Amino acid sequence: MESVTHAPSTEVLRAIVEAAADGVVLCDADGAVVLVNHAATEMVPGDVTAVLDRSREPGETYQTAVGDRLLRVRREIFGIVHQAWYLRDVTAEAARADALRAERERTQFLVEAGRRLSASLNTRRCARATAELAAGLLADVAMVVLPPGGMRRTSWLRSSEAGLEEGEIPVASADQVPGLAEALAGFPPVPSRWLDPSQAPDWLLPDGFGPVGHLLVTPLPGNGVPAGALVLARREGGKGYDDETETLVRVFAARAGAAISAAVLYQQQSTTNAILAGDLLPPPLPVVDGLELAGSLRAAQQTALIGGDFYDVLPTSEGPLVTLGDVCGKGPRAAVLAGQVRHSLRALLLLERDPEKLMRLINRALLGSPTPSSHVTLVLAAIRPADGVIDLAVAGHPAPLLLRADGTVEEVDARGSLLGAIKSGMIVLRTATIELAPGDLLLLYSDGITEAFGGTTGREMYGASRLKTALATCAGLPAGAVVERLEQLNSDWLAGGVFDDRALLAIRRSR
Amino acid sequence: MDTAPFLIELESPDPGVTRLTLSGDFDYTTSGDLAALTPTFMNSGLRVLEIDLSGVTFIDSSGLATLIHLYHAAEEHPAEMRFVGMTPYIAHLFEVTALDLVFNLPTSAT
Repeated sequence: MESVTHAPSTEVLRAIVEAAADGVVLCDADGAVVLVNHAATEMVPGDVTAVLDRSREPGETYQTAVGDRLLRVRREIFGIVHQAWYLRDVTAEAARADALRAERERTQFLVEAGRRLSASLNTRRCARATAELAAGLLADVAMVVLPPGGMRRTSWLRSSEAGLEEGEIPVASADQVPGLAEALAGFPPVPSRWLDPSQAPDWLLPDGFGPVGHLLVTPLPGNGVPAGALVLARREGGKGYDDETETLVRVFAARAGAAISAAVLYQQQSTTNAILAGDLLPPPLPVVDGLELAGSLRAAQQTALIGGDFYDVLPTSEGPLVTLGDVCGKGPRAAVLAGQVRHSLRALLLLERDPEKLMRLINRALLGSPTPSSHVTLVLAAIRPADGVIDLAVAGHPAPLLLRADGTVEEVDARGSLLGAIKSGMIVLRTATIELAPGDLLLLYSDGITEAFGGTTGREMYGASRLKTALATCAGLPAGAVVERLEQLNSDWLAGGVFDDRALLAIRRSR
Repeated sequence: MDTAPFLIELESPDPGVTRLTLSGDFDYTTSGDLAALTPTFMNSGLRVLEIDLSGVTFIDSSGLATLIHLYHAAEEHPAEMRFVGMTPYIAHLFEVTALDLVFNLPTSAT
């Protein structure tokens, strides 16, 4: 068999080039186009030379747009003298890459949103973060309208190139923004294309913003109640809100709404706590002729654990009634109970001034209380400033200490039952009557002082004997200085540790 | 401040007798544990409830309230509640609150 090898004819080569999926443009040594295949004609309907960048070196690749297509072009040497340009339509590929980038951008946005929104339990800071995040990717101007909460006016925060702005609008003005009243009522958002941007009122936009092209109003869903609304606007000529963006805004709004409503709830709670704790704040002490009065009340550190120490100095025509007590438990319930005891005493004092009788009345009132564990410890001291005589009753509470002018410390011999504790109503009280000579001081304190854990091990109680020793060093000091010194020594013992409520009240006869 | 963990041990040394041995810090944060456990030993067979507090390092007003609650529950049941273990600190606390006049305490520790 004879075997003969033939070079393919020009026609065969042309047929192969024509059949290729890539566009091929062949030029001769002078750069004149000698061949344009079918695929290349499809990709570049007009003058094909417009896409040939002759400054490119052979082997180099570049991209160029033709109409709404994106072409990737590669220059190559073809044979000995010819130059070939290979063209590939990468429009779809580029669109996929764009979509991926956009998706990444959205994910990153939500991650950043989650990070910033979870950083605070302050309503204003959460609303600020929401507006600032939205004003970056989602809008030229973003406004958070906070929930009105039954008020006639509601506040807003706005972020744009003009920076952060804040203000208030009457709730009725929400009607001026298409979709806002509905969003504030928690209705689902309507697509942006249904909202007429030309209706956006002036108060919605920063000064000199220009005409609005696109408007999007989204409710901020809270825990069952709307947490306000997010109003987004882009300028006329800007990109509209497509479905992807509207979905992103809804996801973002859900996160922002949850953060804002958590902050609103937290702030309501802490306001309630602050009001309750406020009722336990030591009252300003009255000025009583012949006496020095000084008190200190250090509340436990955790605001959620409002303790139940309290004191009062209630004036009567015969002289002041001094009270210091501690209610069982912690938190708002303890605060309410302490308030009840203080107010009961104030009312009872209009009819009765004898400490023992007052104790029995308070005990019966507490036992009649529908609240379980309404237990209270109390010291009542009825003082006659003229001669320094003090009638004392102690119920379930550490007995007061007496500091004589010469530095001797005595524990007052009085004791009695915890109030409101034993259902049978039986209480035992051993009252005492003492006399303060000029310079003598009576100290009332709560068990937070003696049961303060600290010392070198951090596990040792301060105890009554340390308190007595400390008090003995205070002879001759004015009442204010004594309280300050004892408080300081007790704090040193705690050395920054966790403490319960600590109350101190000193009564000194000045002359 | 480190807190000593609060532990409740429950045993029945004799028929009709339940002994609670408490140890650690018996306070606002832990007293709920004992309150929650009360229905499990306040059963029909209970005649005597013994409480051993010798391992308790601290009692606050909430811990005291739980003991008072237990006392009332035993009274209603009815069962006898008595304390079989005590420390000077707790004895002093019972004295200050005059609960020593209400509770059945061991004579040795008071």
